[in-house]
Amino acid sequence: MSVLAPALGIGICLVYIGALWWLLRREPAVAFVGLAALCSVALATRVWYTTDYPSGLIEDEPKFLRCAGEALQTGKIFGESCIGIPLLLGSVFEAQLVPLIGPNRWAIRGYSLVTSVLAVPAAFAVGRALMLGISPSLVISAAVAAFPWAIFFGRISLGGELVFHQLLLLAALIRLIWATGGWVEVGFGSVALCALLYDYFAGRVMVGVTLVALLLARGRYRLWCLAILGLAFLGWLPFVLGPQQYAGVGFTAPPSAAALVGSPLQVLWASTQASLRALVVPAGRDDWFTIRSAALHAPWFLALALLGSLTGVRRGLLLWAGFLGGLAPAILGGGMFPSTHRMLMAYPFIAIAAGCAVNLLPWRAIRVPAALLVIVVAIVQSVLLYFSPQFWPVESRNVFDWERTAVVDAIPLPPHPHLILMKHLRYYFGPRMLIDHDYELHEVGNWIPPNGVPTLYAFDRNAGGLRLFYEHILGRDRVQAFGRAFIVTMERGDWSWLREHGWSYEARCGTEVRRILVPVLYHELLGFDTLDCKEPITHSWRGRWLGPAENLRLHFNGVAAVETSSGVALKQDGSEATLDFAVQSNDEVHITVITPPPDPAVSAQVMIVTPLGERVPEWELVSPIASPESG
Amino acid sequence: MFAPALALAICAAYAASLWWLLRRESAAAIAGVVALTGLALVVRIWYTTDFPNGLIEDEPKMLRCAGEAFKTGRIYDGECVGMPMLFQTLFEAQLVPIVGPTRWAIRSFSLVTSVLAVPAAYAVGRGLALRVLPSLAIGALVACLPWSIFFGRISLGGELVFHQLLLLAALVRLIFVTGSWVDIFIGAIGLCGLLHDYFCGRAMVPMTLVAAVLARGRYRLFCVAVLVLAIVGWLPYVTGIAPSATIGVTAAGSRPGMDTNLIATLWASTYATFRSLVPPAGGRDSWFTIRSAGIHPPLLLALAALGALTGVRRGLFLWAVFLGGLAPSIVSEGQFPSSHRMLMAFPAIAVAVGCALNLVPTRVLRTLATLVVAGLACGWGVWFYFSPAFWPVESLSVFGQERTAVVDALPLPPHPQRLIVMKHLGYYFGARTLVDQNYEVMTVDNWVPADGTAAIYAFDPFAAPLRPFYERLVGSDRVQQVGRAFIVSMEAREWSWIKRHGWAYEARCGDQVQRAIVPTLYQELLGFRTLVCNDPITHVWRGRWKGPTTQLRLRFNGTGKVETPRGVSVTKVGEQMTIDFSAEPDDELRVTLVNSPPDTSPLAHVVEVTPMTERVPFWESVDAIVETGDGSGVASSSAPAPPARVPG
Repeated sequence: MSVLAPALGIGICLVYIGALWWLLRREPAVAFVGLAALCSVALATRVWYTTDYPSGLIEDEPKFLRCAGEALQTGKIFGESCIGIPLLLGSVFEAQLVPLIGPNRWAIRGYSLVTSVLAVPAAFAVGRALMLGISPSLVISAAVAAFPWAIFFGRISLGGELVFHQLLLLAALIRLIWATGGWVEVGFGSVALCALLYDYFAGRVMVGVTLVALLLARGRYRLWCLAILGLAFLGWLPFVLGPQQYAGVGFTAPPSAAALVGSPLQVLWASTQASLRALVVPAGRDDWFTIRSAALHAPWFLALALLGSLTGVRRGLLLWAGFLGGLAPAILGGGMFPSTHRMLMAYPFIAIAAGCAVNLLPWRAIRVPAALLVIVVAIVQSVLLYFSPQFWPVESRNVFDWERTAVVDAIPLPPHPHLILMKHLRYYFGPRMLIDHDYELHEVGNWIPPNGVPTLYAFDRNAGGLRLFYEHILGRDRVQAFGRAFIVTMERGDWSWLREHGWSYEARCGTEVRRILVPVLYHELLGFDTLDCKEPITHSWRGRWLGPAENLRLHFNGVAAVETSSGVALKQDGSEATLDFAVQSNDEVHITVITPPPDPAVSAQVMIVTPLGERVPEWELVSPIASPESG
Repeated sequence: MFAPALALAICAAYAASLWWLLRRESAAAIAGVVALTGLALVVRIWYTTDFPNGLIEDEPKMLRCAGEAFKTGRIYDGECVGMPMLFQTLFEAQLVPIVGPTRWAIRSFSLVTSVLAVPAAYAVGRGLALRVLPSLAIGALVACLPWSIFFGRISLGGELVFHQLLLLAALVRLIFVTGSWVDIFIGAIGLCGLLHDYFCGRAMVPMTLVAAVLARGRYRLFCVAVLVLAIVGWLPYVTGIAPSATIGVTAAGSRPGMDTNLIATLWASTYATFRSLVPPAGGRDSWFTIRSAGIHPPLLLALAALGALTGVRRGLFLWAVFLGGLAPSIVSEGQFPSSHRMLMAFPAIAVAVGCALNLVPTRVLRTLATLVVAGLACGWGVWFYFSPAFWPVESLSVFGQERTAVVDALPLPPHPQRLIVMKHLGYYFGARTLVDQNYEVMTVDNWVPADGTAAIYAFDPFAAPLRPFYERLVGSDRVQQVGRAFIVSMEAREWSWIKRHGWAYEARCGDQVQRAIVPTLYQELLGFRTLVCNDPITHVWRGRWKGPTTQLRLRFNGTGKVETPRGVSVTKVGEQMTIDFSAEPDDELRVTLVNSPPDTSPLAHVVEVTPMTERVPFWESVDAIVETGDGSGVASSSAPAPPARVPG
């Protein structure tokens, strides 16, 4: 690892501090009182119920950190990440935190959180650059501190820093448009724009806003706006010059352009309507980094913003250009519902416009109380909405996987007992792989722990049905649940007795046959991971049913067949299919599932069907029967 | 309307007091105070439901009492944990209609006032004629030292510190002649607040007299006026039903041995109390106190000692506050010192540190020293508080995490399901009873829900072994695990089939006999709802073992006996006893337990013993043997069969 990443991290932080100092250096102390209060509100709303709202990580968050960490280790920090976003900010401000605070949510979200709080003074600076009074500028800050979008994007990654960089850039551009800035603004403005280019694609719309500023500015200030653009692109070169797949996103025709061919106006109008609608009703998309309610604004605030956008020609043009430009990625980006993440660059313009409206009030004696009223009402309304159940319908909550987050969080940091991890947890465990190598992915070969080695098994929520099975044979104290996910702790001991019951499992690929005993027929993408196969794989399980007569159900993907010694012979194929059959005491049961190559893993579970649900058969109910061919 | 009006008046008094104390401060100073106040708020809500991760049993208990006191109008002297209830009634019970009977109703007052303590602490520094930066350092310490975070995150904490600092701010302004008659009221509000709160606050009563001695001229009278006004405000409590009014004034609750060996006892106690100020933790883990809460970095204590020597009157006052603050811990009973009882001493340390920083001569050096000291102390405080080192398992166990969580997970009214709550959850569910009447305490009578009735069962951690039993019986989707506690949701349908298996249970007290079929022999203080008894109670369970040959264990309190047809007949007497026995298919099992009155709820569990664990036997493993008229038993039950199987 070179010194470039730490140096860049320190350098960027110094630019942040320097820019904020520069922008606020002439403000009176009373402004700092207000900013201190609003920063406190911002920070408090970002850490209130720290591990909830949202209550887990998005799959892409730990994935991004792992990629950023690997890039940091190999020195390829200017590359493109495994989720398509440039790696730079992740490597500098996430991966470098791992040695300090561990591969946890704070490494992933700390940067977004801190910058989303720093966005509060940056927003104030934008207001002041627009010649607004202190209290109207604080209205802008209040919105950036506590509006639902601000809280949400400050509590996840790829959010807060976009807003902060955007506001730094805007502060610089506005000071250039109104001829109060100079080369310093060019400096931090270009850093901000460059950072936007190295971030989630929505930030790239600010290139267009810079061009609008260039048009609105006068004289040499136009050149300075151009300089911002030039310097930012210069900083972006190390990324663009690499073999990047997504460098052109935002600058080339979007994948959804094909939909525009037939009736472009109609499609655009519908898409624009949907995006605007998401500002007032929870009509956004629930997906990676976006939830349906994130764009919600109080209608009265939108009305205020509309009024504010009419308070001057150049100001209005800039605000409308920024707002519509900010919406553009959502409008052009495709998808049935607008992504509130893609709309992110539009929200600060609403806040700025509302500040402009408050600034219309002529007398300080009226303006200050009015601004205070707007600030208090807006904050209270927003905070109540954000932390309410209506902001978090189940579809939005499903974007975040709290069970996988929690089960991985609960795995002790190294040194720890040998860890066997279900492959479904790989993305969430990803950042841990940067510092933890004492683990294996779960497969049939390591399902029963070796004797004399303490072992932890981390099971995904998809294996939730197995928890009761483990509690039954090992006791509750060895099983720790996190919703449906769970961890099984098996101390150093002789575990070979686990082979007394269970099923004989065989995987056959052409002439290659592998056999092993599994404690239960509950394969959730589980097989012999090293079985390299180009032909259909035949998985078969044999066992003697020792329990009373029961109705069983086989869940499977593939072509399944069930035979029992009491005459059951069923066959079916399908995906997520089921096959119901009855077993009698002492029946020999033979189950076969054929799956296509190349994945050697199979999904097949046998459950007891009860009137009140299904459950995994207890361990003692099946004893393995060796395959006739195994000798 | 009296309670809301009084609450509003107190809030107005807080606001006015702070305004008065800070009205002449520069905007830069106010910005600093606001930033520190924000920091205090953040560290009090960071990991909101953890650190500590549950409520102390007394917290919901007090809210319930306060809610009942509020309804009956006895806002001053409703007691159930032996304390005045005024603040709980005004600032907890009145929040229930707004935020529900939740942790926010219970702890918000303490949280908010502990945040307001930051400007009050700053005002104390300024009242002592310290400069802005050292005063801000006091505010920073009151915001971020472990004791301040801890007592700001539980109830009965933050408001004590805030009231104390208001009192101290007023008194120092009177001592050093920068105050006026307004400060009399500020001080009186602070002291009266302390008198209406946890008893350690009473240690500040003598401070008014110390202040009167240290003040000059008419200010001495002002200090006495603070005391008089505070006591006037306390009169409504003292003149009511107030059994704890004399605590702190009389020898009640004082340390054993003080009457026979005063010096040695006091010395040992004082040493232990001082010892608990430095690591490793030597404090007590109990209600409202944990062992590490009093810990300060030794260097900070040294700085405080230096600061306490920066002037005769200042030093005397600070030492008086510090030693007076420690006194409740020194003179009261208990093996280890309670950091809650020491609470009034901690702000004195912070103020003394501010005094030491004020010694630094030039502005640049002072700024640097303040930043270093406050920064390091705050950084250490926050880091230590949120580290596992601060929370050993003994401290964690002060808080009922699972009970808090399981009660929190129950739906708020109106809920169509009847809530059936294990009696162990009584205190934690207590606050809910203020707004929720659709519940019952769990007994053998309601163990199986009536057909057609939806019910939610809330089980305590003590019933943890029952969870797998329920998951197998009714399916995992109906069972929500909350640590070792759990909730079983049973929709409206036929449930009487559950009586198809299980044990026939009979409780006999003299001529009274009550019988029921219980789904499993796992009774954790579970008996009949209506059985009242003054004689020894005989509990009998009878069942036919339908499982394979199994090693079983009976756990019980009382006189227990196990009989099987294969000659097992074992009797044992005692608490937390066990009897191991073996059951074979079709064995008739009879378990008898005799308990003393008046509690009619037995503690008896039968579990399977395996090499790896103990577990509750499957529901199908036992058939109830119902008593017939001639005293013999027949296996079985008139309960319907379980619902038809899903077609295969």
